Amino acid sequence: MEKFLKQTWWKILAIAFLLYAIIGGLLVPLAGTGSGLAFPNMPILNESIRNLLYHVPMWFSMVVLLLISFVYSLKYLSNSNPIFDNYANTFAQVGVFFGALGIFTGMLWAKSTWGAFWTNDPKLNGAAIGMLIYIAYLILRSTIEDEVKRGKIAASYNIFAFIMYLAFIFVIPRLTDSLHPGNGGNPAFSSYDLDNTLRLFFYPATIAWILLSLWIAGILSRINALNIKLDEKGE
Amino acid sequence: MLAFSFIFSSLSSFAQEPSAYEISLIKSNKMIAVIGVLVIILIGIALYLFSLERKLKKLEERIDSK
Repeated sequence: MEKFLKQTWWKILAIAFLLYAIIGGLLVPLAGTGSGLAFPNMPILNESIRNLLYHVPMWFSMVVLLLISFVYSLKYLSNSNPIFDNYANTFAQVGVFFGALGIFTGMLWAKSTWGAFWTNDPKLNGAAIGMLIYIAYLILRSTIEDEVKRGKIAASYNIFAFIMYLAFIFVIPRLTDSLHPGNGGNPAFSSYDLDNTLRLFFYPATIAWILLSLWIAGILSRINALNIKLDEKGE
Repeated sequence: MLAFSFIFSSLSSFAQEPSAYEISLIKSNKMIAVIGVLVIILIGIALYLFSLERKLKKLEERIDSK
């Protein structure tokens, strides 16, 4: 992980794919307004279908970051290495940040398509609960002084938290009625994307945002690691 | 326009005739939603980068003072 975070190639890839997603995502016309490449033209959604490339990857990034945090919490439980604890903590923090971006962008999109910033919907409420679960993790960490104790308790909580998080945002919304695409009996956008044009942009966009989120998490974890090293050397 | 007429032909989702607000919501092309999403993401990342900058500066000061 340490070596990977310092490499450059995937950061350039991230920016390249991001430019592709933004430029292409905004330039490709909706179907019916000319020939060639086009995005599906859905009633009510109209141009905002482009948000598939910007709102959805925020959540994929959050899941990837929280997965990494979960893995390092597992590793910490078997080997109390402060490096593992640092990764678990930092990736959870940046995960919460991307979740916040996902929620705010989702609220704006909801206002323009459903007429309200928030609805009483299992996916939305599940996402909010998922955020609260991880905010609770961060608060839990701040209440414990002793490093090893903090690491162990936080790691145990993280295992539980990640599983609950997946249940709240993926499992439960699919079991009941929902307004949100892909849940509660609604088709996901892939069923409108009959010629796969959306996918042509969605896959690179998701990769780009995930890599960007890893970059940000990497920078923060390297800053935290340096502070930890300085603490150990004592001053 | 075609899409707009499709919605009105399947009006069962509305309990009564759509209000002026609902009509404008359906008719508007929603590009502002896309721009708004991108602005939120950009401002969010910008704020986060500034916060990272501050942490890095503090770290550099800490090392310099040793």
